[in-house]
Amino acid sequence: MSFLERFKAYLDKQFRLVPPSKEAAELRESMLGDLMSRAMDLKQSKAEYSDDEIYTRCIDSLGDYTAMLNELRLKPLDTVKSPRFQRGVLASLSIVLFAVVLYLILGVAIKGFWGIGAYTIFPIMAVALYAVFSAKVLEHNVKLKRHYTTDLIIFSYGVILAIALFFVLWLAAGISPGITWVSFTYLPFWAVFSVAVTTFFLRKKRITLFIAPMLVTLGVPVYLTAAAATGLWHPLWLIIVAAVLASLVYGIFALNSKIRKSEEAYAEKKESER
Amino acid sequence: MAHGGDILRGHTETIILRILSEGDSYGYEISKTIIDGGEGIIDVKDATIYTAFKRMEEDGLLTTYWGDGVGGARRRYYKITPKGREFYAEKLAEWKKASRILDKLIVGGDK
Repeated sequence: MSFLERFKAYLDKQFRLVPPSKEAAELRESMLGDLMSRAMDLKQSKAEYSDDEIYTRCIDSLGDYTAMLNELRLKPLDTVKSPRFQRGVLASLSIVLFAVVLYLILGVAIKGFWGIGAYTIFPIMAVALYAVFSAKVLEHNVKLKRHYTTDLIIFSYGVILAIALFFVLWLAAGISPGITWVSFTYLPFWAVFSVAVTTFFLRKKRITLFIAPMLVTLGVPVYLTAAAATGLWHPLWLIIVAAVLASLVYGIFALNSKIRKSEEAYAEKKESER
Repeated sequence: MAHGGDILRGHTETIILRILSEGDSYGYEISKTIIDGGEGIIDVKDATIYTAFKRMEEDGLLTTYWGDGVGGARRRYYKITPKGREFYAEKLAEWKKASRILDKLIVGGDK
């Protein structure tokens, strides 16, 4: 059994009572990384330890971390007890209360408001609640520079916008649902765009490869919008063909550039080895 | 002779920040640096380091990222933030002052 397998088995046992969470997974993985680094270091040392001795030394080096595991186990309770969570609950209740009172007042004051009010005030209330909650999560993500949920939240804003747009265009602007449904076709583009924006601005990584799927996922809804609005399903389908071609051309240039960089790096490496 | 834990007490975070101010590092490398510099007296456990990491990350003194490790495991690297550098500078100034006073009181003379 390799060190990696032995340490994994050990950590599985230690973490079996810890509920799955990102924090627990990160602690477990960083412990595994450090255990392996220590084991490899001891393996290469002049002391010539046996594998069992190395394993025991590595486990001893961890020390007493039960307090950290207990903290991870108590996490949900701690969350409920935290003033931040309690303030969040109070803010949510305030928004709900405000919406209900506003609905009642306007319902009594304006004739025929009960129906339209229910369709407008409560969805707006739900969106406001979600906006407050997700803004807090985004703030937390930016502060800790961890963006596991950031792209998902940005994407969810696109979903909300698409739903709102659909109903506003249909019910308020009087445009047929046969046309307004195209607002949902922008969601695949928005999904790729959310990941690209987060990757570029927050994860500080290059997004060269995202450009090609962005072109295709944008070409399709643009075609559907133009065709649904004008009725010219043919020949506007050329928009999709143009998007796919543009994506392919871009992909070829991007890959070529990547290969050239790899070649240069390889040549430099070979040169330095001489 | 004071126990290694007594010497470190209250200074673990400052020591970690000093190490990180010289370059990004990971848990094992940091504990090894502390133990190697401890002249055989200090034996810091990983649990102590992880607890300090967590606290410092929450305080915005350091950030983390994943890097390549050995034997098929990833390493979690730690990077000091500008706030961490400021905090370290404050702690260093405090330490120099305390050290000067204690030297004067314990060693005596003009020190």
